[in-house]
Amino acid sequence: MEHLVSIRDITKDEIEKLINQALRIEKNPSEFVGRLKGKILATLFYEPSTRTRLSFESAMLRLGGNVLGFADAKISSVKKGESIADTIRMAASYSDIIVLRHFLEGSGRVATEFSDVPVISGGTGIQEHPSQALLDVYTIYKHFGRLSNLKVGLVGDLRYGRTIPSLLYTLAKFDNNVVYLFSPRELRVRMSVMNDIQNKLEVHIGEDLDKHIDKLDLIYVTRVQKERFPDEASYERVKDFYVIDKDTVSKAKDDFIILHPLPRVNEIAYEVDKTPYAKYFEQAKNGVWMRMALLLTLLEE
Amino acid sequence: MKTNEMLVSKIKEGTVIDRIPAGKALKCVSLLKVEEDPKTIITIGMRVHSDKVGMKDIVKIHGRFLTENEKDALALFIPGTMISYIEDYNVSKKEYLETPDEVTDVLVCNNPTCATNYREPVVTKFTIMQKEPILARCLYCDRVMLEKNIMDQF
Repeated sequence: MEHLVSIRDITKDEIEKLINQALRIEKNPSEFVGRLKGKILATLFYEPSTRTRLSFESAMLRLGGNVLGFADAKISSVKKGESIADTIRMAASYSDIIVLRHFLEGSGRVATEFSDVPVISGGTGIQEHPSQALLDVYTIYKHFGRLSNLKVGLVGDLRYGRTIPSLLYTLAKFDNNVVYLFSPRELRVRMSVMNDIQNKLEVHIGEDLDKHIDKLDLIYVTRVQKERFPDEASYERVKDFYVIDKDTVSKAKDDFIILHPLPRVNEIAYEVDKTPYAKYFEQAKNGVWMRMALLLTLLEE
Repeated sequence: MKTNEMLVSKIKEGTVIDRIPAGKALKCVSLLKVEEDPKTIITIGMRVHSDKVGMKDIVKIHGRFLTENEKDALALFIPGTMISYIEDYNVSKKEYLETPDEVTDVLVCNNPTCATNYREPVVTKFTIMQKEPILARCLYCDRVMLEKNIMDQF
């Protein structure tokens, strides 16, 4: 693995190795202190982020490395109109590894062409968010002990949510997974993504989550992102299309779990947080272990 | 037949693009940007009779051969076109253009938020996912362009 800008670029084997490494790190973090001493991570965030940036920075610091970067493109040369290519060339000469979040799709691929150090996508437009998918499946693996034979419901904005393609690509690499796609019509999975998972995942498309929830092992809920809509009215129509509350999960299996990449707005009621199904905060915490595994893999191999 | 041969005369060296669908010769010339080169002689025949395909257009470019990118562009926009290379008045090579599997520097991505549309020093790359009707996918942003979007660039 040279870079990570799309889950489509990595193999099932590499994903399993990352999971095993993350498990080792989580079990015994002190063993990994200082492993990346003297290395520098550059975090280039052109779009707002809380979890992704902080957990990458935490991961690097826990491994004994250092961090530099910007979290607001307004204060960097980007504002002066500098291209991704030039910014990346510069960052690659100041650091050993780069995490890039950018509002343009394709920005990750552009970055890899101009960087002589590894580039990790921290989310590129609506395209993909590969490190998120890795921590998502890490959370799933820790709970179920497997990444195959799962019935997974994806709920909410499946069209513009960038974690969705990455998660689907990851699930598609393992055997016998079934996905149920629950979304309003206008927020269904994009054609290119459907094409990629064709014949690799059994796919069911629908709107009615309540009717199917008893069959599912987990649901992955996403926020309907206001900023993706052309006008207020079309956002209002779908914003509260799904609200997961205690009633929704009353018919769920015993070992059922709920994941969410966060931040959430209304799509999961606070009352659900206290149920054993709520795994989204643990999921966010898992981000550090998985990102430590990712930094180690990219820098030490 | 005889009249046609007189209409579009033989060339000594260069490229003959034949069996262009009737009426598309000018677009074909502009696609190749040959009209921008002040020294290149171009002969264009439009709505010429052909025994094989009925009515066709034909373009002869004197003293110039096509690059791979140019051939890909022609193949994408006007598949089935026949290209002949002429050396010393004789056909040295003939090829039928088939829709390529990948095109480089031919298409512009129609995704307004694709990084390739923002002054980045990169050339566009698309894989042709499907040939009939054409579907092309941007290798940078993964956007799929429909045949209509592609033909609009022609």
